[in-house]
Amino acid sequence: MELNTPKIDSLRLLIPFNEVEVNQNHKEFLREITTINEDGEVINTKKNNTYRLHSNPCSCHYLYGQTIIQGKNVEVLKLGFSSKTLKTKYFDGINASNVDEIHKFILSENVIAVSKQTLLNARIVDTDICYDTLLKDSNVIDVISHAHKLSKPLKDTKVNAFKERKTNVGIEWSDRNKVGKAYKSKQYLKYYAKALELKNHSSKFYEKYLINNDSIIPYIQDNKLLRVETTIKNGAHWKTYNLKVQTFKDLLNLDLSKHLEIYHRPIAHYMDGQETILPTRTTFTLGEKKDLKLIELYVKLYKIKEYEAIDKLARDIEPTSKQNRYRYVKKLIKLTQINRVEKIIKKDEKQLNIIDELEKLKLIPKNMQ
Amino acid sequence: MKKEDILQQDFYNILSTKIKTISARYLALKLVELKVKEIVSIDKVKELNYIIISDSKKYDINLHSLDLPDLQIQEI
Repeated sequence: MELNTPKIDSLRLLIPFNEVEVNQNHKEFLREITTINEDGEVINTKKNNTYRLHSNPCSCHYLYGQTIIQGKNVEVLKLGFSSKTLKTKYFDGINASNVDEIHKFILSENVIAVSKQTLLNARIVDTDICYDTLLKDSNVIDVISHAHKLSKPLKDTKVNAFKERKTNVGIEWSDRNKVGKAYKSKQYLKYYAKALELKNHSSKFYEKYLINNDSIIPYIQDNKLLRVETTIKNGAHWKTYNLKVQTFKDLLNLDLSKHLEIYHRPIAHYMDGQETILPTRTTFTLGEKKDLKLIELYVKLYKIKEYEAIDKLARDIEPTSKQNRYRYVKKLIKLTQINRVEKIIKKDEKQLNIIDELEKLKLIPKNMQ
Repeated sequence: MKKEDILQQDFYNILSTKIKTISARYLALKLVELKVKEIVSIDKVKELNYIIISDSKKYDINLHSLDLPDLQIQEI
């Protein structure tokens, strides 16, 4: 089990379609599926461009599509797979030593035939890099609550503390499906309780491949095993870290443990441990208290997020002067940050259980019980 | 000195050693929980491993390689 080092969790390969042999006898993929009614009338016919064997959690995702590569429209097979294809070696992550195993698995699905060399030369997109760690003195809920409170109120970035009570807890920044070209400023980042997620959301896989694995089970601790996950969208995104990673082979040759900046940049972007604290500040002035109260009221009144309330408040108070509005927004953001730190300081230092703590921090609404 | 002021002071002392901000923040909180009133010195033993001498005790600190609110703190 690989702990405390970045590893590849999942990715998608863009394989030129002419380098793939599709199984012509496959019952679904790239076959025309016809719907008929009880009288035998044809209702509609459609070609299945996508396939995944949903009954098998290890199954790859196959999608026929077109993409633009170097200005040309190219037919491709988008092949998505995760480290679940490695079954009992799930926690090793995808690496150069198990790529043969992955290749064999792809062939065993009997959807396509593809050479290992073609896989290695394929372009990669949406690479999920994960980092599993067994927390030291802290625990998952502590990490999540601190991360939540130290999160900057960024205008265009959603911070989402998971709400699936008891079965999946975590926090994520940005939306992995809506990053678009803003991959540098909105790089997806997620912290979550991996053991809880496995047991409840991938229970079939967990029970089949992990539960009897004595080398893994000691690490599957609900409130201790934290996974930190980020997504690198494409080659241009890798380039922002001064790395040339275009193909699967490039990725496998990369020593991720030497590139922790792929985590540190989004962490520093979404969270702020430094600016939230002013050395001499412990109280707020009357004006600042009014501003904080106003933000709180706007959030309640308009049922909006804190950063939206700040924006609205600034627009209401400074409708004309863009410069003054900018200064006011900056001031309000700083105030809310200090206010959060004040709350952390006053936080009950006693260890609470995972659910009570989430409720206390309002990460889980009471009505979800 | 108030607890909040000690926390701020500790935080800035820790930051001066180039420990990343989220880890520094968490370490300062932990030290306040341990009733540390003043940091006398912070020595780097090796990467992510520090010895902190406070007004009353000495601590061995092991940080995470990612900037996470987690660490191992042991009185020595």
